Amino acid sequence: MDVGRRGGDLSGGTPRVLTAAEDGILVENREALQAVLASVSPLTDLLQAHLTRTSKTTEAAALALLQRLTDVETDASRLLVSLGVARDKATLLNNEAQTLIRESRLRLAEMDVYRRDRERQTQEDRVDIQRLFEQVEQLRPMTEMIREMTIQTNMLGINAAIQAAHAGPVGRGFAVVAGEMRALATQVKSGVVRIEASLSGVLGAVQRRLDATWRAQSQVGAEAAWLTTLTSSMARLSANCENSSGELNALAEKTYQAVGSIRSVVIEALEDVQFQDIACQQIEQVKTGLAMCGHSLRETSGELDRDHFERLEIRTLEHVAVALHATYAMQAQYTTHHAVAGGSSAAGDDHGRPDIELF
Amino acid sequence: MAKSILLVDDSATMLMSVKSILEIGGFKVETSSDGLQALNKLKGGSKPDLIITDINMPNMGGLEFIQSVRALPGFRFLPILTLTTESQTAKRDEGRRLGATGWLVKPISGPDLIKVIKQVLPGV
Repeated sequence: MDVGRRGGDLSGGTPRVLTAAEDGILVENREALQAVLASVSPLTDLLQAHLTRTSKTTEAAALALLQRLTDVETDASRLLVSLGVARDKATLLNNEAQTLIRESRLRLAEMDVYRRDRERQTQEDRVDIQRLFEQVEQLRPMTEMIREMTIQTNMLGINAAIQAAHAGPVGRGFAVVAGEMRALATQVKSGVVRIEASLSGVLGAVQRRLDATWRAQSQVGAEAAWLTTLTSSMARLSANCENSSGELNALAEKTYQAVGSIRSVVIEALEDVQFQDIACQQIEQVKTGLAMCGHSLRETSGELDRDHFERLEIRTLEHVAVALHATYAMQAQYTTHHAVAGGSSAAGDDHGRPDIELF
Repeated sequence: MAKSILLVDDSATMLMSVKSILEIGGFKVETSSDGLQALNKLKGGSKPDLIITDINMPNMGGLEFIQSVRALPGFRFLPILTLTTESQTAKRDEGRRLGATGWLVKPISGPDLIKVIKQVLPGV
């Protein structure tokens, strides 16, 4: 039994009426083809959804990366500020320390001058006192001589008294003189005793003063040693301060360089993250292409619903590629397109214009 | 005083990336996510020293935005740079005709961006 439909063989032979079985197969094939075409659209929707998710994921990742980079840059900036403040403070402290050390060294130099003056003065005092001591010592023989003279005077007085006694009344006046001579000798003798006592006292005092100058001189020597040590310590302290300051400056300079390098790397990374925007736009283009493919295949599926014997309006997907080509923005998209699909690149040529162009 | 820049782009990553680069460069940066939002900021009294705008954006694209900015009183000579993936001659020429000061193709390096800004902003 035939169903009255006209069919044809694939070799383009004479059309013939289809049998019921053949018509059934034709309907099944058409339905299977429609099912395939209908399945494409959900598939392109799915792929678009995946691409959308991919874009969002890369955007979230890029934003997180940017945030971290920004945090690093902020920390680096803060570090530079802190470093600058610390370096300024360290320089100030070092300058103050150097000023103090300089002043201390000046004071030490003044003390050394004073000490030398004192040493010289003590030396001169000692010489003077020694001379005084010697001069006082020279008085001792004179007291002995006076003592001898008093003894002789006393003897003269005694002899004179004896002679006066022998002379009787005539010698009475002479006896008075002899008595005065003996009294004078006695007074001179007691004066000599007092002079000797005074000399001993003076000599003792001079000796003590002399001893004191010796002690003072030895103290001056100790002070000199102490001043030398202190001056040397100050010099070492100054050198240490200079070294510390130099090392701190060198460290600060190295840190500046390191932080500067970090900031440069961060800036480069910030530039590199721009790839995400470019990739998103390329993905959007792919999504548009997929949507156009889905739409076109839905149309084709609809065409298959029409009568078997009408001419179907079925297009290839070439128009999708043409439409995509018309919406490209980047030279890279044109380059890829022409590498895959061929054709002239003139439509997408930027005529070699630079990426940075001021009008 | 730091020069101010209005940065217009619908990409959050571009906004953050370029904003950070500009701030490191010592500029004060304000951002908008499309031309319309940026235009409303300008109408609301914002007076940046420079505008950097993307071209392909929702609501109002960069070319329409440039044209609208040039129509505002007091913005005729304000430097406007585009920063876009668009590299084609036709779009560039249209941007120039509508009043763009320069055309920058993404991606752009920080030093290059700062160099261009110094060229269009006197005294920077």
